Amino acid sequence: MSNPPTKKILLIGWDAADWKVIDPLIAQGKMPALKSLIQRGVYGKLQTLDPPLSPMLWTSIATGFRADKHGIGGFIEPNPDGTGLRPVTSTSRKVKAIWNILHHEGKKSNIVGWWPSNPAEPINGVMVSNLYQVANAKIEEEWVMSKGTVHPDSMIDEMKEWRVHPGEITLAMTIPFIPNLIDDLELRKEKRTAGVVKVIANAASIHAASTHLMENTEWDFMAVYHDAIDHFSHLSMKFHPPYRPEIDSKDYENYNGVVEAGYRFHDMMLERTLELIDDNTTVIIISDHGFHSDHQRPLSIPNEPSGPAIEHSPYGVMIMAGPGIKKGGERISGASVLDITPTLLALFGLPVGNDMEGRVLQAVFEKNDAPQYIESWEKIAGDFGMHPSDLQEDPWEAMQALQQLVELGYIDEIGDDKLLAVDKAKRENQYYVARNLINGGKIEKAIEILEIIFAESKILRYGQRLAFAYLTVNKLIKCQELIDELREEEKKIFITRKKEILEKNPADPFGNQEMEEPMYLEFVEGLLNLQINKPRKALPILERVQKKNPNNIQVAVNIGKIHNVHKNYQAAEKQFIKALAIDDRNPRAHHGLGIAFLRSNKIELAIDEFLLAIEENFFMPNVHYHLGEAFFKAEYYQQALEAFEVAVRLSPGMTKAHKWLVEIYSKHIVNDTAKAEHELFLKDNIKGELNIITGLIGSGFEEILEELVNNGIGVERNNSAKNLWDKFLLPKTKKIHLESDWLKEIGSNLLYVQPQFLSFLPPNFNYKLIVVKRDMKEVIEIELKIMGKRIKKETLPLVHFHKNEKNLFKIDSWIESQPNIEISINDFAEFNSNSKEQIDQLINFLG
Amino acid sequence: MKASKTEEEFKLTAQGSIGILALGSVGIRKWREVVKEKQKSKEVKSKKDE
Repeated sequence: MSNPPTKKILLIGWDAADWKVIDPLIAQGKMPALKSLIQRGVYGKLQTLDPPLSPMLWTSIATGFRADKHGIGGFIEPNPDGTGLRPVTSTSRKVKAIWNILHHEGKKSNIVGWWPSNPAEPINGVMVSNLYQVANAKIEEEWVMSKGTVHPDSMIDEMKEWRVHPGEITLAMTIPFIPNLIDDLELRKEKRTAGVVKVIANAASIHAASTHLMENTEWDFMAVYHDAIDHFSHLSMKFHPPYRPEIDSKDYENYNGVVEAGYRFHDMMLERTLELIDDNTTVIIISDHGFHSDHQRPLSIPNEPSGPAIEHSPYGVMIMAGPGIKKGGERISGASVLDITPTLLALFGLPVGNDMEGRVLQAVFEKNDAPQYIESWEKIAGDFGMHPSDLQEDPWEAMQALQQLVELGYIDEIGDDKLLAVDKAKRENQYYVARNLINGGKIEKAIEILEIIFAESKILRYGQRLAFAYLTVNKLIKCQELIDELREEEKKIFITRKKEILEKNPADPFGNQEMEEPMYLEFVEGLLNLQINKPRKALPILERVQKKNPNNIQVAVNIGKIHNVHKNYQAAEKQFIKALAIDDRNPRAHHGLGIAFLRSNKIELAIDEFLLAIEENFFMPNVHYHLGEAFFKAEYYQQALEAFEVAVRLSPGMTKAHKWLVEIYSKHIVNDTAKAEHELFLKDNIKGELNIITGLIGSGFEEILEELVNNGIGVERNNSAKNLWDKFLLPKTKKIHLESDWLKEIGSNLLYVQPQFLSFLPPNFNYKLIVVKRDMKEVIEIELKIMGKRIKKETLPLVHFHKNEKNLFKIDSWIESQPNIEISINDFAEFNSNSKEQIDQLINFLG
Repeated sequence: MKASKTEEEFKLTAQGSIGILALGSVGIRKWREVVKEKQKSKEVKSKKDE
């Protein structure tokens, strides 16, 4: 039997609410309403998406889709009439929101303040848009309700009453936030004080509107969005205790209570809200992201669009209570903002769209019944209470169409400055969408966008994310080339900046080259070096990044990994503990710490860490593998066997796990059938390991190989060859596509394969690949020399250039296609400057 | 009497409070009535003074 559908749902959004602030307040008895709600239901962290920008996130929450599908990228969009930019609107949303689906299903919704929801949609119920609370006039003037603020029109006059103007907020209402206002008259004039007053008024407006609707209308679904915690936090989190010496002590004295008062105010509003619901109502409180409140608070904000988002933390909050929801305050793990709409649909007993990117949070329900699915709500026609199609438009496309009309002479010229502003905003929007795609693992799609906007603008932030995207899909050579290009751009910008500072020219926020995260390029470079098996080179880079950006968890995890590789287990432990201080639920940090414990024989501790990693993310085959190793060392053979079995189920090609299973089934838990099964897999699938070196003719691979031979490394070669190239370029490597059986015979010898023949190497080997790169001009000079031609000074024959570029691209393509590969990329210039170190590294790489 | 003392403690003033705002529409309507009343009596008083 399935759960009876919930009758009513109240969804409350507290933008930027964070457990790190809430937990101590609950412990001190300062948020009693929230505490009682948690005790009646479940709670947990809610994972945000990247970038943590509120309009994008609240639209993902309301739709179950990421930005590339739902269409809301940033904070602004062009005015369709070409008069510049405006705040993002509901008409830009490309998919149905939960309230549209509920409208179609005959349910009544009240939506208050959702971001973005202006103009209000014609749903069955009432919609009060995100412009409702924004005072557009002085208190003594008429406060006109903007068009589109309230649906239906018949409710406009009724709703006007519940708007609270900042001018109405009294001293008595402000003192709980800023107690020094009692006798400091100057403090009352401060901009920050005015900001606090405005946020109080806005929150009061939203709360008054929602309580009025709760009491005076029929509803099945009520969604109320408060931005006040986010705004209080941006205004004053830097003054929230504990005090930091970098902060102005007078400001600290004045504003250190704002954040706490803001949260307590929300608890008071919640108490009243909960008085207005019945026992048939499920209550859900969520935030779209968290807000750093501790040592992770940044000391400065990047001067760029969405710069303040650097203060956001990756986990918001989620609390659920009501009929059908577990009781007793159980903690729920692994929820994401994308899961809210699917879960709401399941609560209402409605099918979830298979195309939605989130999932139903089954763990919150008392009974665990399988949700129902349909292919897509987007494919269902009918009345969904949406804007008429002529209102729904992509504002960026509308702007383009407008420009075409200008070109045809139908309408007046749009000013260059406005077009420029729209262009820049469009790119910025696309940049957010690309980051959102990277965050969702849709890297190729992100690359498409980033390549265009970086080529158009040369804005470093775009290039840096592109380099990261290349790295993620193993386009390692492209990544390296882009890093080099960005370094050059950086140099140019440094010179321009100096000039700008001298001329006191304020920087254009869209053109600002600062990164949201300090030293992001170095971060990518560090990761790249790690990926291409140059941990020694990666370590100092990542350590520099960590100094500047101590809260980047990925940096700590990767430094820890390097220490593990170097067998510096104590140093590794420190880094992983540092990472866990940033996020105590990071599975990679638990995994890395587990490896450090395992290798230093702290087996029980290692097992604990691996189990914690699995609790956070079950689908990491390497964690199960290491857990198997730990159990084996502790002589828990049955548990080890189970762990290795899970590892091979998740990653069938993991040969090392198959090897362990053969060992266990033959000696410890004897099972000849199972043993034979894994032996057969190893025999059929993995022929062995091959060590390959590649690079263009003229890249210097031959000199590196010669040096490796001198150091005792076995290399496949033709000793009777007349020159160095022919010595290593064996004719049979050009016929691998016809005949490759001989590869089994070369053992651990290193084999040179030209880039264009890599794709013919058989797939059932584990590969170690050394790539040799060199400045293209030098490569072509050598190539022409071999051919007996001369190169004219300062010219590069295009034919050779394109051919070589194409061949280099083939290296990247092959790497991408290989499941079992380790890579070492080497620049010949580095080899020339320090051949001994380079050779040592390569010997180490080859093991 | 105890009951009237409690009533006295929670007497709504024109200054209002964060607690009044937290009551939502009901609190705001009541508070605005008090503000209006106070404004009226202020006007009457200033007329008298004239």
